[in-house]
Amino acid sequence: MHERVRFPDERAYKRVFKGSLHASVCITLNREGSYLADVRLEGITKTFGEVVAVRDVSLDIADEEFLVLVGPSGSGKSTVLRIIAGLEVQTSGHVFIGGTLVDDIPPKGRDIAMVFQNYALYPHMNVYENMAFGLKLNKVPRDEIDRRVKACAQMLGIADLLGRRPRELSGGQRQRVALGRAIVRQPRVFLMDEPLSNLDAKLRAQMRTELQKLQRSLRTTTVYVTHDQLEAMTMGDRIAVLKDGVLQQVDTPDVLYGNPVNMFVAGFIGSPAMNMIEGRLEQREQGLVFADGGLTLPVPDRLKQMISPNIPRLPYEVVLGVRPEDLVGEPAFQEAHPSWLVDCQVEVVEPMGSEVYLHLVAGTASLTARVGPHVNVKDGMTWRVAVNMEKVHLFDAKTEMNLVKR
Amino acid sequence: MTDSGRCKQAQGDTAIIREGPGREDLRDRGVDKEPTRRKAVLRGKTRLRTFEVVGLWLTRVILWVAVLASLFPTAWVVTASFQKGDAFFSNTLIPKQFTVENYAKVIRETDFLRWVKNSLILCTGSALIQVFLTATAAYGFSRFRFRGRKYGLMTLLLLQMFPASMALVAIYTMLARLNLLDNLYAFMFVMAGGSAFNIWITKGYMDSLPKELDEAAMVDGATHWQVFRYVILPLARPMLIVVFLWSFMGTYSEFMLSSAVLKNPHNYTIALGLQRFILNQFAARWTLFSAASLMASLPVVIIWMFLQKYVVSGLTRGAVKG
Repeated sequence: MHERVRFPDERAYKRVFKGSLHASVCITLNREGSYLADVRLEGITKTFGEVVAVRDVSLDIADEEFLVLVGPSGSGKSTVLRIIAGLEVQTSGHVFIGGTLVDDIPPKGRDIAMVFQNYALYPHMNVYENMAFGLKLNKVPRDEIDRRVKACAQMLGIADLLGRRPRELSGGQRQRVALGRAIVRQPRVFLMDEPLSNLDAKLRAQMRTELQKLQRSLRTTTVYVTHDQLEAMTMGDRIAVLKDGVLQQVDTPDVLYGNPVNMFVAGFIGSPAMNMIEGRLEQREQGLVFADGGLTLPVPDRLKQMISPNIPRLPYEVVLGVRPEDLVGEPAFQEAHPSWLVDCQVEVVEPMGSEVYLHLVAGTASLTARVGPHVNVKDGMTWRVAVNMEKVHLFDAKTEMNLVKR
Repeated sequence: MTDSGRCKQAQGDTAIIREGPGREDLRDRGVDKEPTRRKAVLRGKTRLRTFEVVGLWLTRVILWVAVLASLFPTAWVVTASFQKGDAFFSNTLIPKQFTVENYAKVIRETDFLRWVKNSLILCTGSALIQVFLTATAAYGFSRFRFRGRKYGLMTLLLLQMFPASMALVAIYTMLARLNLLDNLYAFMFVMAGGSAFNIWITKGYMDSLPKELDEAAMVDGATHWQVFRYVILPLARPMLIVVFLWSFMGTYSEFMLSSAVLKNPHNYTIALGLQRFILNQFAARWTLFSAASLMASLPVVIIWMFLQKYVVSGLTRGAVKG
C-alpha cells in the first residue's frame, strides 16, 4: 500500500485509452513503466455568464508533485480544481493528464480522486461501502476490493470504524474516511478541495503533517486547494497563487516568500503580513532614498543596482515592502546601520510565546514587527527600530509589480 | 456546614422560602435560582387568574369537541357494522345486538375479495410506476440544467391546477381507440400519470441533498444513472415512500375515472364495488356497507402503519447531514 502502483490494472489503462481523442499518444510511460501522471493546463478560461472565474491559467504540474493552489475566496482556485476533475468544463483551453488530452472525458474516465471540503461521504453507506464504492463501480473483483479497503483503513487508522455510518464519526474520522476513499482507488491524481478547513485548529495541524507524509509515501501527484497560506507554505512542493482568476506566481514556498512577483503575493504569503509603506524614490544628497511623509530611508547600492533598470524616472512612486522580521530591534544591528533607524510609537504588544508581535506607528505608516520574546517594550512607549534595507521589496505603485529581482 | 444545612431545609420547605426571613439571606449567598423556580411553580398551582382558568377550559372544550367530531363518524361506522338489520338511522352508538354477520355476508355474498385484489394490484402497480416517474423526473429537474427546465416546472404546476376529471373524456377516448377500455393494467398507467405536486416536493427534497455527493460519485466513476441509482435514490427514499403512499391512497379511493373506464364487474375496484353495493344490490343496506368499508380500509391502514415512520422523516427532514 505504501508503494506506488507500478503497473496500473489493465482496465484503467483501457478506460483512459478508449476515452481519449489522442489515443495514439495518450499514455506516456516513464522509465519504471508506470504512468506519468503530470497535469498540464493550457490557457484555461472559465466564465459563468458575465463573470470570469478563471482567466487564461497555464500550469504544469509535474508527476508526483504536491502543488498547492492558494488564493483568497473567489479567486477561482476551486474552479481550476474542478476543471481538472472534469466537474466543470472550461470555456476555453485544454487540460492534459499524463499527456492525455482530457477535455472531453468525463470525471469517471480521468482516473482522479477528489477530497471535498465537506467530505461528501455517502450518508447511507458505512465506511467500508464508502471506500469500496469507487472500486465497485470500476468492477474491481470483490476480494481485491476487500484487500485494498482493509489495507487502506489500516494505514489511516480507521480499521475499527469500517462498519460505522458517516454520521457516527467525528470530524477527524470523516476526514480520514474521505482520504481513504480517494486512496483506495489508487488514482493518478489526487485533487483536494480545502480538505482540512472543517477541522479544529489542533486536528488541522496534525492532519497537515499526516497528509504530507501520506503523499510522500504514495508519491501520487496531488493538487491541493486552500485559502490558508500557512497550509500552502508548509505542504506544497510548489505553490500557485491565484487572484481574481489570474495566476500570479507559481514557485516553491521559499521563492514565493523571498521573491514575490507583486504586492498581492507579497501580502498574501507570510504571517503576519508584509508591511506596505507608500512613498517615493527620490534623489537626495546622500544618494537614492525612499521617502514617505515621515521617514527617509537610504536605498543600499545592491538594491539600487537591482531596481535601477526598472525605474524610468525619479522621483518614482513606489510601495516599500518590509517583512515583520526585517524590522530589527537588536542594538548591534542598529549600531551598524544608523541610517536605517526609525522611531516608532508602540500601539499594541502581542506576545505569542516564542516571539512577540509589535504593532507600531511610524509617521503615517502602521507597521508590524516580529521580535524575540525578551524585548522590553510596553504599549504606548517609543521604540527605535531598524528597517533592514537589504531585504526590503520595492513595488511599482501603479502596476504593483516587484521592482526587486533577487 | 450550617449554611448548607439551612439551604437544604429551606428548599425542602416551601413555606420558609415564601415567607420566612431566610429568603433574603439565601439570595445573598447566590442560591437564589432554586427558590425562585419553586415560587413560580407554586404560583402556577395556586394563583391562576380567573381569565386564565376560563381560557384553559375553553381550550379543553374546543379540543374535546374537535376530537369527538372527528372520531364520531368512525365510531358510528364501527358500531353500525356490528349491528343487526339494515337501517343506519336506527343505529345506536352501542349496538343492541352484537353480530359479525355483516362481515360474513360481505365476503360470502359479494365479490369483495376480488375488488380488494383488483384495488391492490391497481394501486401498488400505479404507485410503483409513479414513484419511478416522479424520482427520475425530480432528479432531472433537480440536477440538470437544460433549456425549458424552468418553464417545464411551471407547466407542471399549471397542469396540476386542472382537476383530473377534466381529462376524463380524453383518457376515455384514448383508451377506447387503443382498445384498452376495461383493462386493469392499462388503467394502472393512467393512474400512474405524473403528479406535478409529487415531482415538485421530491425535487425540493433532492435539492437539499448536497451536490458534492453527486460529484464525489462521478469522480468515483459513476455515470448519471449510477449516481441516481446508488446515491440519490437511497437518500431520497423517505420522500419516495411518501409519494408511494399518497399515490396508493389516491388511487385506492379514486372513483370517477375508474367508474368510467372499468365496466366489467371482474375489474371492479373497492371504490366501484362499494358504490354498486349501495346503489343496486343492497339498496340502503348500511350495516353491510359499513362492514365492507371498514374491511376495505384495512390494507391502507396496514401499509400506513408500516411506513409511517418514513412518512414523518420524509416530510420533516430537510438536508441529509453528511
